[in-house]
Amino acid sequence: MLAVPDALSKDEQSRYLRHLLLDEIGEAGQLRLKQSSVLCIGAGGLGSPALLYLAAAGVGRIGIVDMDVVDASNLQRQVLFTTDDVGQPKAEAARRRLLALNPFIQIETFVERFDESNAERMLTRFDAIMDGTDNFATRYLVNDVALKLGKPNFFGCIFKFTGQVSVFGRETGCYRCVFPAAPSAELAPDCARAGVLGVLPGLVGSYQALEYLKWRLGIGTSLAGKLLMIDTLATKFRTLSYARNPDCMCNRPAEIQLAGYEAACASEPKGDVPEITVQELDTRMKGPCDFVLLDVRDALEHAIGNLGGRLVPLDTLAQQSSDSIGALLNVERSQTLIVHCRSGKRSLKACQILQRLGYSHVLNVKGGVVAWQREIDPSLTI
Amino acid sequence: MVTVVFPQQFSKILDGQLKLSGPGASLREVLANICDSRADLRKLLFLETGEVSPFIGFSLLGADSFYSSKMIAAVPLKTGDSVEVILSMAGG
Repeated sequence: MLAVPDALSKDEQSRYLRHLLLDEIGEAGQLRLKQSSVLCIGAGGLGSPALLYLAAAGVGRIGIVDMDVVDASNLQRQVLFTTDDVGQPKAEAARRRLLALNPFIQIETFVERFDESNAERMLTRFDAIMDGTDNFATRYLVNDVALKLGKPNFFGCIFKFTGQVSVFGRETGCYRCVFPAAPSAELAPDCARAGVLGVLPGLVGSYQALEYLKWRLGIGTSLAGKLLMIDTLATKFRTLSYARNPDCMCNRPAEIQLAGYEAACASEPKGDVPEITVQELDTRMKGPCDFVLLDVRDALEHAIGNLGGRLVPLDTLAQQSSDSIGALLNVERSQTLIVHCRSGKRSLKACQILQRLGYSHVLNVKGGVVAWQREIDPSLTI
Repeated sequence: MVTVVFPQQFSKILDGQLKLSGPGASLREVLANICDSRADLRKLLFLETGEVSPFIGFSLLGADSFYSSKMIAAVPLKTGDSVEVILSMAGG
């Protein structure tokens, strides 16, 4: 970590002039931003605008955690990236873009998954955390590690045309005070499946960055203890106040154990569905054709790019009875069925349905086509 | 009667009918009555223990307080009120 000077250079004064002109910021405030740091979990839809504004504002040290690579389907909303970045690790592409925007800041990248094993170690070195994740397991982990270390959590989330923003902390209430546990997959499809209006994460991520800047500068009214709800179709913004739950773990941060997030947020119990890795599938696809490959994504996803499997969308499969399934699949019940979707969640559900309908040899492709693209064929469009 | 307004995520299970009304002296009673003939909805709104699902919150339309599932008893309800169901979401 480089030492942070206690004065702005001439170039920095020129760059941040519009901030320096504000009585609420001035040179002292700008220096405060230069001496501050934030760890951003996820460089996706929310992370893109948040990181751009934090970097442009001169936040001195920004950490970026993301293990994914840039996909063409990200570019509709993830404005950090360009077409040339497709296939590149997001964290590294983000670092290049942010340093091109502002060479006076430091960027630290972590091309790895944010999990129980590294969360505390990573966050220790930053002032605050910004939640730009896309799954409940990581959101609860972000909440808990922030509470444990006593650092504010700048929260944002989106669904289709709606978003929520808040600032969580020990004193004002946490994510678990608002939503003690995660919903089922049926009510909580991710952006990859549900779709999202491209500009929505731009709004929500910008609010997250704004709240961070206000907190660091000590100005304005914070969203701590409040939930900002944004409905872009209705053009409605509502700010609701929430109370701290006296029974919540945020009252006992020293007792927080960072463990069990995947299990607690698993949408469906895995049951006894065996899995196959994409490497194993690749090997089997090159050998004798002794199985049927099913793609349970939607027709549009299948049309964009597929592995050559038969398209049987999960919704269609879920409507079948033990009588109708035979006509749909036209496959012996003793035949091996290898089932995939985008990430492995829908195919898990499909495997469970197939098992209930009497198909005894079903295998779920772990990680779905996302894993296939990452580990077998980067040219696959998904 | 109290009207409960559900978010878009419930559209499939409610056949697109996102406003339901039911009687009750408390929000828990209203929700239970609304679920009377809707087993699928009951499964989402309530745990097997009878507690309200922990991924759902509420607010009274026209007011500015959020009530988590743990705070449901504190919702000040009267006939004619509309209650909005607020669902947690993970997208990012």
